[in-house]
Amino acid sequence: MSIDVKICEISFGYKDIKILDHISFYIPARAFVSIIGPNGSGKSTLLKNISSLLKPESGNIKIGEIDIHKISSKEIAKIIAVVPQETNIEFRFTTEDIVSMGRSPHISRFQSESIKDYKIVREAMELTHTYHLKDRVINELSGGERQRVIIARALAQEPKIILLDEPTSYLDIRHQIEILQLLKKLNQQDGMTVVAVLHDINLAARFSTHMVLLKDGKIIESGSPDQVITIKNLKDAYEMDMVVQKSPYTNTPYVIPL
Amino acid sequence: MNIHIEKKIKWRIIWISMGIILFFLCVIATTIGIANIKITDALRIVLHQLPVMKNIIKIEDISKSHQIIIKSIRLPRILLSVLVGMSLSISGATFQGIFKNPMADPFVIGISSGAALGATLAIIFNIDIKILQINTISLFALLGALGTTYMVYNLARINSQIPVTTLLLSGIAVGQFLTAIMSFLMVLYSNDLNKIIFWTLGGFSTKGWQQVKIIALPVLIGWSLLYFVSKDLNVMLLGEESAKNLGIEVEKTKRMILLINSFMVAVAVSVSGIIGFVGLIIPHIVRILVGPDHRILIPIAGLGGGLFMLLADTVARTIIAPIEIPVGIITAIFGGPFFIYLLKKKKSRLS
Repeated sequence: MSIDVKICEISFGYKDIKILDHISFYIPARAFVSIIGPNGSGKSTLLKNISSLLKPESGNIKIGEIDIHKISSKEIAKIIAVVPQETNIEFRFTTEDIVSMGRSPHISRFQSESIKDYKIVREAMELTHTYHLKDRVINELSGGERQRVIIARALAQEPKIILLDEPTSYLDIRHQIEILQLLKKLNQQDGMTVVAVLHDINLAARFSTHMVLLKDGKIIESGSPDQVITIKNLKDAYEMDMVVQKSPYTNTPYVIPL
Repeated sequence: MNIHIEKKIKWRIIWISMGIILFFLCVIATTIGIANIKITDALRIVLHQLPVMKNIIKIEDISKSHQIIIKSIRLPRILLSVLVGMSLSISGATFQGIFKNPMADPFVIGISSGAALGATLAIIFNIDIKILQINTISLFALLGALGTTYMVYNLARINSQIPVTTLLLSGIAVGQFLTAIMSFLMVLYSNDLNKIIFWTLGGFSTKGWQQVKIIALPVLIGWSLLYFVSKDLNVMLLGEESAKNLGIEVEKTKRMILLINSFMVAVAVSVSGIIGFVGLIIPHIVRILVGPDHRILIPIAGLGGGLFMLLADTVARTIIAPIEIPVGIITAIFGGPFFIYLLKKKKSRLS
């Protein structure tokens, strides 16, 4: 079963500062959406509103027909998984312990993980190529390995939708591509909806089916990469001139800043 | 797959055997002291206290004075030390969890300062009020501890949320403030200096069943409630936002842990004074031995804290008997080097 997401007229702010200003867009089931825009444009805040971590001042967000603020956080956690920018853990948990925590929305208070849960954990780790790290302590892994472990934890939640906040910003180019290819695979093979905040416009255009370009809490353009990545839109958002070409290798828009 | 079930069985074996060890150490501790009592007699007297055993085990042949020494002097003191050790260690472990900070201890939000100020006031002004047969100093310490927690909690609260950093900072600020008032009072009323210092150093001398009755239920109930949120506490170590995204009701869990810990620590401090070190170090030692998972950490930290305090108090009351050393001194003198030893050993195993 696939689920779409309707984001309808949401606004959000802290005291006098408006961060999101009447944002609306539609995420069809099985989409790969990237949210791009300059620093401070409200990308992460938008993501936190979608994950229900923050409650919009006005407007609403519906998953299928359900308003996300009308169901419990445990119910949401069975549908939406979130991968943060960075995860720091003080205590010496093993990688497998961390991934097992992804099962927590599915396990009631008085139960512990069943054999089935460990099977799901193992599959999530194999999919992200982290199973060989299962007995390692999480804070001793490299940045790329740790991010893959956190994605495995998100997959162990068996979500319909996975939200990622700049999942590749601390990674080198090879690991960036590796993570995005993994997400693409989950998107195409398992029909998981992917919504990611990304900084790299070229990678975003290459991997996404839909893009949302934000500036000052407003949407400048949303739609297919070809619709969003235009000279005019980018000039409006980043206030600089860029050349937009079509990459002959990937057949997706390619941006060179001037 | 079996490896996970094996792990859970291993955990169960660890805490059951640790419980048995603690029980026998309690019995052995009852035989240590000036009056020389045989261990078999001690075991029979202790077992005779349990409800079902009363009819099975006869103790008429043991001298009345030995029975009284064990039943009304040593046994309550031993139980009290175990219960206080448990409450400090469990609250230390869970505070380190919610603050995600290895330096946190039971007194991190100012409970000890509030209790000490309460006790100081009772001592200086020679107040004598008894409620439910709790002595005045304990009562004032309890009120001071609970009042401080309430104040710190409300200072740190923003709407319905309690950010842990503000909680930590207001705890430190309020704690320092109350300590300053206490020091000022100690300067003004220097006649009572000795009494105040001895109270703050902590100890179990002249304590009996009365104190055991006050502390037993809060500690045992608190311990089991905390065990039920141990899985949530694990997830909260990923960060509060991640925990919320995993369906954990973070604020509710935090409030519950704060409430339970404050109550457990306030009661413990009010009956025994401020015994440092146990609540900071025992959770770390247990983490080194069994790992950071709260589902095993909370049970073992409880038993470990009880065991450690029992040993420390036995040393405190016997090493230069009949003079008693305040138990807080013993916990630090023996606990410090032992902890450093474990830390070193762990480090060399890693490298």
